[in-house]
Amino acid sequence: MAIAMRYAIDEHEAADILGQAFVKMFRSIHSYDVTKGNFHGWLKRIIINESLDHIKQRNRFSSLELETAEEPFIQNSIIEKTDAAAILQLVRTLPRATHAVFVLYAIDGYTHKEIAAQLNISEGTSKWHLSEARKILQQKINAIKT
Amino acid sequence: MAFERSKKNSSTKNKRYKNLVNTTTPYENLIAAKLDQMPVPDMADSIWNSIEMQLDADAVDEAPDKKTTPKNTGKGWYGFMGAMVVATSLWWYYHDGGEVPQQTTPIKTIPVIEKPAIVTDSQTIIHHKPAEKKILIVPAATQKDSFSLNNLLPGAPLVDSGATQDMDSSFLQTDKNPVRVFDSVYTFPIRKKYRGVKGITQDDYKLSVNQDSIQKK
Repeated sequence: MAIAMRYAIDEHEAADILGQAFVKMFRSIHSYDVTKGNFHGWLKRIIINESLDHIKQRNRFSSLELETAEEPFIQNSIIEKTDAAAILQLVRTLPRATHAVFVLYAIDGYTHKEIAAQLNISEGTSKWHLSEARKILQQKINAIKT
Repeated sequence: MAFERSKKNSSTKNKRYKNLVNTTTPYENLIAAKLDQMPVPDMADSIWNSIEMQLDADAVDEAPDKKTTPKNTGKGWYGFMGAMVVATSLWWYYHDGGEVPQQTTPIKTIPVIEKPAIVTDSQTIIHHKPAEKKILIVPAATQKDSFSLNNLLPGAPLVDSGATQDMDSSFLQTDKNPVRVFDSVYTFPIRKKYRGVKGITQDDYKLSVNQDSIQKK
């Protein structure tokens, strides 16, 4: 549920994503191979794929190329003091495509190459969305401080 | 020199850019740790209900497909084996158990000829067919060696040994030729074999005045 919550805009969408992911899991349980990885990792990938399918159905990923990127400056102390629900709400305020790329990269550890393959975009577009997400978060987190 | 410096600066910027977008920042790691610790809302029941509905819908969709494409599944084999068992049991029952219906057929009872009960004290009246009676006149059997007193002393009553002439019973009816009535169940009397010495009859053993008197004749 926590995985679906990161990609969904609210709890209801997260519940729908989780339910459909479990249905897919039950349907394809025969294809699970123990030698390729543990069950938790396999189920996690199913949930993420289902989340991305939801996002792709409702949003279009425009191809954008990042030319330059600035290093954001965010105080870690602010993040430590802020609770998880508030941070989640901050992440949900990002645009859907940017939101998905940020979560895939920063939280779930996907590379830009893998993100590009998942979302049918280029690596440059993935990098642009990551940079865009960092800028927005910097502004919003710094706004919490003030 | 300036060109080379600008070139060098751009390359470093590109490296930094590449490093930025290819690495995660410390605050992103903190955000990831915070989101992992976030409490999850209790929506398990609703989620499982939706899962169940979708799986049931899949099962309904797959059912008509199975009907159109029958396959030799385990259930089909079980049904076939069950039918074979039933058929073999019926064959055994009617072949090996063929004696059973024979036994079940009612055995013909032999009519028992009931003899009429002998009525002693009852008041019932038993009607019998009139028995055919044959009357045969058979002369009294006389032996050649026997000596009958009836011929010598006509009218004289039959005297038993030691018996007086005075008879108590008026029954004595001497019939020279007794009439024997032959019934349907008449049996001939059994003749006893003569025993004794030839020439000596039973009359000889009888005491008489003339014969055994001690007076001299």
